[in-house]
Amino acid sequence: MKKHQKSSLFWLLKVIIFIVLIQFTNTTQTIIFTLLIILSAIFYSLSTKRISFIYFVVVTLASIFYILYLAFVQHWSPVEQGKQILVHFSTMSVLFLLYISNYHLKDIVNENIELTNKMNELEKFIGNTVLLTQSEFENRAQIIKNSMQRRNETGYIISIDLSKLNNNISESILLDISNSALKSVRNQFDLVGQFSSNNIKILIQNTNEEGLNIVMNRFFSNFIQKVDEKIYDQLLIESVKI
Amino acid sequence: MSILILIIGFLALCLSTFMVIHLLGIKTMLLFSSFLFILLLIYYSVLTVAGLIYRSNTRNFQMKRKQDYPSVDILIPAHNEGVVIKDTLAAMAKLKYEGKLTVYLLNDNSSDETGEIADEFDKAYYHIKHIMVPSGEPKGKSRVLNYGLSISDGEYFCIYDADNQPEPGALTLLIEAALATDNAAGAVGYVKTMNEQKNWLTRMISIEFQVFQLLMQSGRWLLFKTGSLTGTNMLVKRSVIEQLGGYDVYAIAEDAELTLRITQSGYLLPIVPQSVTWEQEPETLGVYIKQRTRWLQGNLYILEKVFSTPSYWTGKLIVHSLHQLLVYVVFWLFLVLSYGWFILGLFGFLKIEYSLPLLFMWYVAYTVYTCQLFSAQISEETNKPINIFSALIMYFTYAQLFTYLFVRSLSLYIKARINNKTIGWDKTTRFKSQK
Repeated sequence: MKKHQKSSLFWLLKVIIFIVLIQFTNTTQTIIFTLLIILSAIFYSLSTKRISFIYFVVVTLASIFYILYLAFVQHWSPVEQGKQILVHFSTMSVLFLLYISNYHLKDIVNENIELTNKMNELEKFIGNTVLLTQSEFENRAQIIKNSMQRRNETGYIISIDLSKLNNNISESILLDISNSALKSVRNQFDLVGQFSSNNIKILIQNTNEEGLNIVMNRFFSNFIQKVDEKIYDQLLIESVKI
Repeated sequence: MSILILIIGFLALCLSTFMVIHLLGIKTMLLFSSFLFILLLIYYSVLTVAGLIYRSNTRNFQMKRKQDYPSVDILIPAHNEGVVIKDTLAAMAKLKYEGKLTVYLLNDNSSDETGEIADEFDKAYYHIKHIMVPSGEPKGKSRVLNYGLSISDGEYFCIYDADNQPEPGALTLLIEAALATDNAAGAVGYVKTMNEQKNWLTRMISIEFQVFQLLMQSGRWLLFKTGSLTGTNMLVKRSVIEQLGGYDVYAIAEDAELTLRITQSGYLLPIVPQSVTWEQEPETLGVYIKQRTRWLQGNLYILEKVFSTPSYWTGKLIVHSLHQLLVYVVFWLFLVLSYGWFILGLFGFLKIEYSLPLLFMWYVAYTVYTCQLFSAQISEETNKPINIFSALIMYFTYAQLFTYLFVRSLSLYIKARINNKTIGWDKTTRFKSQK
């Protein structure tokens, strides 16, 4: 049985037990029962799987010993005991089904978060562009850095920050920066990656300061073809030798 | 002498029960036994919650300071273990341990291919040794382990049964727990069932193991700082066993017996749920009955010691002695009495006008038991629908085997004691691994 089928089955069982149970209980018991279900549902959704289960065990054991105490004090007949057993067992069944449903739900949510993280990690490019994602940029950059180190070569990482730009235009400018950067570097050799919504990084390998200046000038001329020069002045551009 | 004490003790118990019934009346007796039974249920309920709390910690032991890992000898007693030994030694080769590690396969006169397989591993790995144990009496694990201790010299030793496959980090976790706990004699890990899915029996045995480890190991460790050696995946300091004079060669449940002596000496045995070994459990009822009879006879031997040794009722040892008494005397007596009562009542020989909520008490017992099983499954994340269903029916099926096993073990034990015979070691039959 698949997880979503199990969850549906548990919901169905809960509803059936709930409806059957309230037919056999008086008003006070129904109120207590409903309150317990609501409080438990809130508790389960707010706490971890293990803590939720400890709660379930504590409620089950505490309630059963309390009812046993009542049975002793009030000298319950076997018929009365049988009725209370049915009520307690049904209540605990609903609580357990609620716990299991929550357990499955949390499992699905965790699985979803995990898969999303993995997918983000595996994603190489931002959207439909050829701009690298942060993790892909870092992985490729590490390999390039190691290779350059072995060959005694130098390179640069250029960081372009847009945080000083007006929020209304930053998203649009980011796209222009990416395009300009991609046009300015050597295709299939240097790297351009997006680190956040206002930061772009460029890695140029096997080059010196002269090469860096050529790339920077190329970037400048590509950028101002479409965007005002004043915007370029607001960009925070840093380069680090690697 | 001690068997005489046991028989006299039992007769005295019966006599006093009858006297109390006559003096106080059956209602008072019922009331007394009901409260005793409720106390027992409350005790086990508290243990369940404590076990759950302890298990909710992902890492229970952290070493206080960085220190070198001590030398460890792994001892594996083996007698005709050809079916499983290859997998066991392969698992030993995969163990990750930063200190000096030597694995001793203690071959107790195997006549199958155990020796050949062990030789191959001995030749291939510097740290795996195949040792032939000289013949001797009495037969059994204790004598083999004593021999293993005599030919090794590690600061700690760790026992694994011949069908065990510990996880690579299991030993390191045990050592870290032993080093992180003041006055620790060693540490005890968890045992999990590798053939759990084989059939209903293995599934229920697995659940029973999980419950034992949750309540008796994790729960008791959190509440009383007492742990029990489980015969496998257990670490002990060599200096401690030397101080205690080695294993008792007449003890069939050598692990439980050593636990009592270690606790008596004031040492601690921390429980490490994250250190896991996988082992096979009996796949047929015949093998299961044989194994459990041996275990129960071992526990009867300990019970005899508990009754005949006053020092077993001092300090932390009370927790263990009380457990032996509760399970093997009080609980069993209740069980037998309730059966007798039920049968007599069924045929109309016994009619008691009572005002006690016995039906509800039965329901409490069932709920507490099933709660324990569910808790164990949640702790180990084995709560599949089929396991939940097994837990619901275990009270009516698997749990009822206890009475038969206990009567069988008790009669065999008394017979052996009357004839002054040493109880023989029954080796558990192994099955082809299917992890």
